[in-house]
Amino acid sequence: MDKYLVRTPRNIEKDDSKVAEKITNLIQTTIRSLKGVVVIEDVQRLKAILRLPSQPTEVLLRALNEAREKIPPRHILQETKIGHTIKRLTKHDDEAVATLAAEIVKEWKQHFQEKLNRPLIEVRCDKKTEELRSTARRHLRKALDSNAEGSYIRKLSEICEREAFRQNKNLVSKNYRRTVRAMIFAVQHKKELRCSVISGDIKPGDLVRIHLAKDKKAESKKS
Amino acid sequence: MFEARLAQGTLLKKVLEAIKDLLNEATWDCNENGMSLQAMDSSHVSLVSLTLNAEGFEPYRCDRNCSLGINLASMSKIFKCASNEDSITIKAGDEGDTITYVFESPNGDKVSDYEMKLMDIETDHLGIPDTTYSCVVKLPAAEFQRICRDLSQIGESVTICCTKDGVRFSASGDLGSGNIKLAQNANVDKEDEAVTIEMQEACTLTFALRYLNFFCKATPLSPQVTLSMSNEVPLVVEYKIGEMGHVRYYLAPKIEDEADS
Repeated sequence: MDKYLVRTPRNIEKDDSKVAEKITNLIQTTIRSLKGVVVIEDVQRLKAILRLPSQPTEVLLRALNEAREKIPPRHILQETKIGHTIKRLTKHDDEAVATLAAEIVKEWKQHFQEKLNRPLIEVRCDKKTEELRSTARRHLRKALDSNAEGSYIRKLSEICEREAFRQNKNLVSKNYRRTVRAMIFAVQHKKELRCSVISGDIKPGDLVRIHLAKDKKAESKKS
Repeated sequence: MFEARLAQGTLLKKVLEAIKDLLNEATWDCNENGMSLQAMDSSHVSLVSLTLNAEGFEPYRCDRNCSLGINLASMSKIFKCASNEDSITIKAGDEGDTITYVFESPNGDKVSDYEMKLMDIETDHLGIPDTTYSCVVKLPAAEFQRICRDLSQIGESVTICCTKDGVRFSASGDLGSGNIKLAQNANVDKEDEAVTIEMQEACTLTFALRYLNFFCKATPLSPQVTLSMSNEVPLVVEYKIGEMGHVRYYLAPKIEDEADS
């Protein structure tokens, strides 16, 4: 059979090998090599070096460079107080030491400020949950403003519902249903509350918290 | 003098099963608050951190802080000698270089004690962030075990990708590739069955499945597992041990080789 066949070379295979290469390129790191992980004993040693008065500049610079490679976790910073030690060095007589110390302080501060109070991103839920939650949103929207279809009200009801969901441990539980129901009825029938929610005097988080607290009291009465 | 008695001995057996494949030996630090352990595996890729609160033991007595270096393989062998219903008492003297385990049957008709040599282990204490992770995923422990087992058929490593569409576990290898996608599932009867995702920013990291499969040995301890991820820090896989404490596994990610590219 081979006699009758004309074999043409195929180019497709080359692409496959590229993909395979990409996968094998990964290397395993170790726990210690990660920037966010520090050895507590090392931090204490560095702090001791940096705190000693009248150290030669080279020693200080070496220690500071070592410290710069890591970003210690918040609780380690609080425990060891190495941040204070480095901050004190920003007023060091030697300019190289002072600038390096200032850079470290700035880097660390920036790292933690970035992470502080970042808003949570809403993650998609499964179909049933989405359905239940959108129903809750619809009712809330109606209760807030029965005729208008404004985008502000839509957003507000969404935020309120999300807050209720979060405060009920991200579960569509009995408590979540109770909280949302209580919220809807309160907003619907108490005009003052409705106005202050819409005007923003009462934050969505607080609105949820009020109704959450009532909920717990009711439960403890029952039991 | 250190003495701790646990009525539910099976809990300690499960804890030991969960860590003994990963660690050969480890130092148990005992103080008035309880027992804890922090140790890295021999390749320094993963770390186990275990906490057992004093309240879980009855009675718990620790006169002064002590560190017990223990060969976990031997400890596990000895614990195999205890029945599941037995209560377990751990005893260590102030100066002695041995530790004693006493197993008592619930009826009190059978008491067995085993003595084991302690060892000297030098370890560093690592400081790892315990809060503010970019993504925190809670899911049923059995589900996580299943995912790890299934994907280890496909490849050696798993890429965990957390976006606002949910969390995706993917692996690829010689035979092809596989993806498992989970969305938040909040509409459940029991809290333990829920999948919840808290996300501050999207995050994609790759880990070795070999280690994740070791971590899954802790599945009998807890119905739910928490995965916390962030860049530049290890993945945290946490199993709660009832009200008593927790076992946390930390795993360093795999990164792309910069030298090659």
